[in-house]
Amino acid sequence: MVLATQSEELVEFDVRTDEMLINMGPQHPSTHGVLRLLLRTDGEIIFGVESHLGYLHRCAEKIGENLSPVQWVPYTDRMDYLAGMNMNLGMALAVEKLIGMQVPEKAVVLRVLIAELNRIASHLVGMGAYGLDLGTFSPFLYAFREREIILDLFEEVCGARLTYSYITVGGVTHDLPANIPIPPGLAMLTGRDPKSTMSWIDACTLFLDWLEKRISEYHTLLTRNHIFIKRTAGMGVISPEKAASYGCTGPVLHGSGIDWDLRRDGDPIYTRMYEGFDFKVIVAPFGSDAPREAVLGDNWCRFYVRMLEVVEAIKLVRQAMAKYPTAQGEYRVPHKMNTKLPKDEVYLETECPRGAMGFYFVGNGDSKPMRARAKSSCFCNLSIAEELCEGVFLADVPAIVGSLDIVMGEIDR
Amino acid sequence: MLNWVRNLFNATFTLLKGMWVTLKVMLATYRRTTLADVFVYPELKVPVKARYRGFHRFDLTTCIGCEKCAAACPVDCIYIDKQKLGGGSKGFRIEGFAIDYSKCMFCALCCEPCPVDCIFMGANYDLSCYSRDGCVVDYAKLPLQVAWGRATLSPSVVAASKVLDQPAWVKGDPNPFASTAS
Amino acid sequence: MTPQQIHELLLEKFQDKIESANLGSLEPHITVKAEAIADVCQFLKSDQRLQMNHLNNLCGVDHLDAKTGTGRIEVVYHMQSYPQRHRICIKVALPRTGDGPNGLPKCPSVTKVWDVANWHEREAFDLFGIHFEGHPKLVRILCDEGWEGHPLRKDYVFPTHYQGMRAN
Repeated sequence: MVLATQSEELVEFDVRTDEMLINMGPQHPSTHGVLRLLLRTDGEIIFGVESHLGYLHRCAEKIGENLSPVQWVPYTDRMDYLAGMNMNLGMALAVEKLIGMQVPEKAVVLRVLIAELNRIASHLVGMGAYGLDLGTFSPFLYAFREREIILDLFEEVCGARLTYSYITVGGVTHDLPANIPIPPGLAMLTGRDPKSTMSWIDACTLFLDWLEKRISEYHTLLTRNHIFIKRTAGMGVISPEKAASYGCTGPVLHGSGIDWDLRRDGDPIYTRMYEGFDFKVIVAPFGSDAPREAVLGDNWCRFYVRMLEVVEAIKLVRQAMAKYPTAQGEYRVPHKMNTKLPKDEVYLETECPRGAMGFYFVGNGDSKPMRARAKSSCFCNLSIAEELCEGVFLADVPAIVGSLDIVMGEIDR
Repeated sequence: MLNWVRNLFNATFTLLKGMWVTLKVMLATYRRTTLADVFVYPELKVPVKARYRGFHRFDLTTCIGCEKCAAACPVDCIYIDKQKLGGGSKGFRIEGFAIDYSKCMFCALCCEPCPVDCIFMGANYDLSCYSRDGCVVDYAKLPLQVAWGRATLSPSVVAASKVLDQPAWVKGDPNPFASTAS
Repeated sequence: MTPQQIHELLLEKFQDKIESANLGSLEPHITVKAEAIADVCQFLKSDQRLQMNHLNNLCGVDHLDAKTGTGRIEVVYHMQSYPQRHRICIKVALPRTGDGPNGLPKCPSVTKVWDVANWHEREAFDLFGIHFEGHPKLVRILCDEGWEGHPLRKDYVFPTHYQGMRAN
């Protein structure tokens, strides 16, 4: 990567002037929430970045120490609010490992189905918002058009559109509904009668068929767009060593070429869920798919990992829906709210859309954990931004921060 | 020079391809029915789903005052005011059943432990107030039409509940709708 | 490598610096003396057999005995290796008060080993009051800069007022 400070063109025109401090955020639209970046600039060039976090700090960990794990589930929704289902899943699995609980097959299939559907919704927002950061508006609208249908499907399942609290200790709170009115958005887009009803599985299949055809449109609008490539390829390069040292996980790690997906390499209690599911771990480099300008670990690679993960998630949802009718057991095993947690500890990471979300519980024989820790993936992913943003143009800061796809609710907890 | 031409060509070509996608989407909206054709917001809202977790519905007639919902609430937003019935009859007289909606996060954890299924999540989502006092809804003092499930929660009934200092109905009182039912 | 083998390797290298180990736990962990943690972590990362190149999590845990008012604060390091595909948990036990600034307990920083430890240590300092020696910039990260106390300590008293405003 050629830093702006080393570029010959720049030295020729000499855009450097006086040093200036610029506050980007906490209300800046392209910091994805209430992140405040204190930029030390020299003209157009960034010389130092300091992140200020904590505007959304709710001390969820302290709350978790004063509640039983089941009661803490609604708080995990509010961490990564774009992927509440995945947050619930990680937390529920950690508690189940601690108390040694086995979940029936049907609950497992439902968990995979819902968590992967949420991954699609989350990556759609990540894609749309990244386009918005770089100045294109249409992909954002298209992404929200699709996400709206997923939210409608979630509302049918659990009754909420954002803070689901659906996956809980011992399974999930509801079974899939048998017959639902078709989501209005889906009816409009596929030309169905908006008053008609169908089964939840049919509605989801109809939606996935429709979404699969749209993915090539997103590639035309963003991935293959030359302006987009110029803004992202070769910018914000994270080497594999840096990615590991900075604790990057999820698409950021995959974009740097480290082949590590917790669904395949993680804790046995988590990988067991995905046994029998056929999916591919998306890892850079992409060979002939990548434009000439792209290098391993740049913004474009991270973006493309997300786009391909959507395709993989669609495959996983389809497989889970095929498994659902024959899945054995109940969707939930009873779990009392005041179940005593054993005097032991457990740390479990799950592959959330934004990376590895870890939950660490220390029990002391009481129903409330002695320590409930939520290790945020975005927190680690964001910590590399300070280094990445040094020596780039001011206009590239949103491109770099946006490619990390952060959610401040998870960082500040 | 070659680079410059290729850049220019790529940028124009991919941009036009993107424009073609948006044009197709725009033209498609003229051919299909849109959301606004079917639903007109204030008059005809998009209906909420069957499992929607909106403002609670509470059945004053069956509540036994066991406080299981209040214990399950993660934010402690349910306040139950009760007195022993006495006079030979067991159970409690529910003087007040208040939910502080400035705290409630609609997680539905209160509905699960209820032994008599007297509290569940309703379909109402548009309730607003001008003061923090209006966020506290005392279900025991709501007008009977609402407390007995014959009308939905609205700002005016919440305001009406503020002037009562006694519960609108307690166990043992006659059924206020007995005459209309017969 | 299994946790047992990692434990043996560490015992061989650091002998008495390794205090104890609980390998039968759901999360097998090894407790290390506080002054040796930076060296142990450097060894865990650079040794060819271990190659712990990823720090999953660094956090504090407050073990306060409510009856006696004494106890210890633990710093917990969860780490894993991408090439070797194994993981381990290292713990450090610190007194609740120490000889650091403002009477905080001291612990050597591991920021030189893993870059991600920078923010994790700032968070542990912010919420638990652990002074990490050798940290490049140990300031609060989640709470406000003028915040008093360390909220995740078990004996933390919730403030009734914040900058003149009633807090609850």
